[in-house]
Amino acid sequence: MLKFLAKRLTATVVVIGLISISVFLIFSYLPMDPAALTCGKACNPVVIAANRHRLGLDVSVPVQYGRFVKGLFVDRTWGEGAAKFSCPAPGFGYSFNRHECVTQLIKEAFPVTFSLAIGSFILWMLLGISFGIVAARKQGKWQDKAATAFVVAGVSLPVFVTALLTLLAASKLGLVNPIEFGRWVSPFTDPIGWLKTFYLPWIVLALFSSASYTRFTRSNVIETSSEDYIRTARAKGLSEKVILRKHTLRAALAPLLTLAGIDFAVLLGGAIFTETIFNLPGLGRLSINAVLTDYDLPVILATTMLAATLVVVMNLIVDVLYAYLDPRVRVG
Amino acid sequence: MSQLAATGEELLIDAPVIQRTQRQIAWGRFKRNKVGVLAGCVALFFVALAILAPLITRLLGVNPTDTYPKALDPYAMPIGKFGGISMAHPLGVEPGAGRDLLSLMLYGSRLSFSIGALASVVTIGAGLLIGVTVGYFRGWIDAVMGRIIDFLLSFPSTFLIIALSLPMTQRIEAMGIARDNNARVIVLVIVFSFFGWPYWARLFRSQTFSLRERDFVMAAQALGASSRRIVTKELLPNLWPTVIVFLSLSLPGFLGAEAAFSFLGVGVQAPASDFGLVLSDSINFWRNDPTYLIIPTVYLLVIVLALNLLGDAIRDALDPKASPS
Repeated sequence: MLKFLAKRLTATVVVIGLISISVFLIFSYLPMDPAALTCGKACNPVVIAANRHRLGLDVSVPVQYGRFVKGLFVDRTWGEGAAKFSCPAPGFGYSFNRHECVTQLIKEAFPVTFSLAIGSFILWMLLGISFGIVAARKQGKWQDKAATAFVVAGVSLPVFVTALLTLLAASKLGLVNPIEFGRWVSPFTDPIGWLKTFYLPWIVLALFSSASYTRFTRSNVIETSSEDYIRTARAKGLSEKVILRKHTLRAALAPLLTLAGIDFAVLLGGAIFTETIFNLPGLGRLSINAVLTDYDLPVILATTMLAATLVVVMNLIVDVLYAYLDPRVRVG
Repeated sequence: MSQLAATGEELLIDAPVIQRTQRQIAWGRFKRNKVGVLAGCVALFFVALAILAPLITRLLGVNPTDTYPKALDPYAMPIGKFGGISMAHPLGVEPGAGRDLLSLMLYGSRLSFSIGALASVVTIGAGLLIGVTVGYFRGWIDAVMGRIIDFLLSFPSTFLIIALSLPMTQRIEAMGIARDNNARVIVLVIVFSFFGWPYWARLFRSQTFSLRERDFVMAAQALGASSRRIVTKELLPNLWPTVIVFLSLSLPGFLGAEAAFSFLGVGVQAPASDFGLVLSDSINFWRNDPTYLIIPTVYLLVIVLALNLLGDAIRDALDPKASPS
């Protein structure tokens, strides 16, 4: 187990390193000049050159990358004298458009995205798995057909359309307060306000994602139900409830873990469409604003890397958990 | 008892042997699936509308770039109920600028279908090529490609598509390949394909793995067939059903994605129009003109739903495990 863990951990670190290098390279060779973008109205070559030096862009790309990585672990400063500013470690760089350390921006946005992700994740797992079980148990009956209709609708509806329709329906019913709309409150200081902000986006994301989980659970439960050991359990005289809970579901839901882990990680990286429509100041909106308003490269770089890292790390966690849960997966 | 046996024998003797090809079996199965046939007809109808968009708009005497200020009241809202639906404007008029909504939908779906179809063909094509190659040759090529596929799949594609669409469009314009919306369409197809193929390559790889162990491939190898012959004559013909299923399932996904990105403002831009652009505009008017929101929503949903149901029906019809009745 330890050897497996060490191997997977090394691979994860390598992949994260590769992703950060490629993202850095992609953004370094874009035809955008951050030095020109930040220089404002009174622009001349001297100012641009000074800006370039101040932003640390006057050195080669590998050196820039080296400084970026170093900034993750030790404090980093830009510029000299009066125009000096620094970001404490772990630093993802400095946003010159918003005049703030990127880490600070991410720190502000992450709780929003996390709240959105955790709530909808719980909701969609509950919905998806229970619909799937009901559909599998009532195969061919109306419950099954209703679940199939739900799956087709859920898979077909793009999430931004669902979000839009839900939002409009809710505001028609007077459920949306335009002043409080998308307002971030901590669940620790104002739990009711937190629920008010998030319940609609939770429902939207949950409806969208639970469809594929319903399909998956249904087919897995049906498949597992025809296994010999389920027949044995039934022959032993166990009640249907116990068979379902202790035998069928255990085998049928284990493969869901991989899917759920990745989906959760993707969501933690920022739900761009849901956050945009519900006006939530999370990671997704942070990055889309960085692209659409001023092409704020350090922010785009940081959110992209963060999202990729979350997926890779979650992959590792899922693999380890899976090896732990499923005795059939041999590690060594 | 003997009666039954007798009739059984009689049936065996009298019934003429009907030989049916795989295609006929699949078609027969598809025809019996009412939902699938209906979805197919609906999908065909909308594809035809998109292809015939110039003809239809000319017949109706409307143009997607023309404005119809006479159909708007002084507050720039459509005159008449349901967003100004009338004989001249069957789906109503756009509030604000006053363009004809039907022509916007027709040309919008034309654009969406083009992007979706191109991206689907490129994605599935690349996935098939790479999947079959690594699945057949295995060894180091498979190990290397497997790493690359894992790597690309863990990339946050949505973020990168948003971040790269603007600079890539500028670069394509600077290179003089295409301008404005043509450049944006090319960029969308490129980024969709670039991040899309690994998923399909993985599926084709596993399909090839199981195919290459089958007896007919082994027989071909024993007869001394070249790798090229085995791939093109033995493996590919057996993968066509999968290709058709994947194509029909990926098209609606791309239609939704195209709408979503242009909704965010990183897809095509005015004066062109598509579902995403109309939907993002309709948010400003939904209180006074809900029809303007509902029509593009329903139009998009019906297309995506029909294509998804059609894809499912095709998959069921081509499923070798199903009974050949």
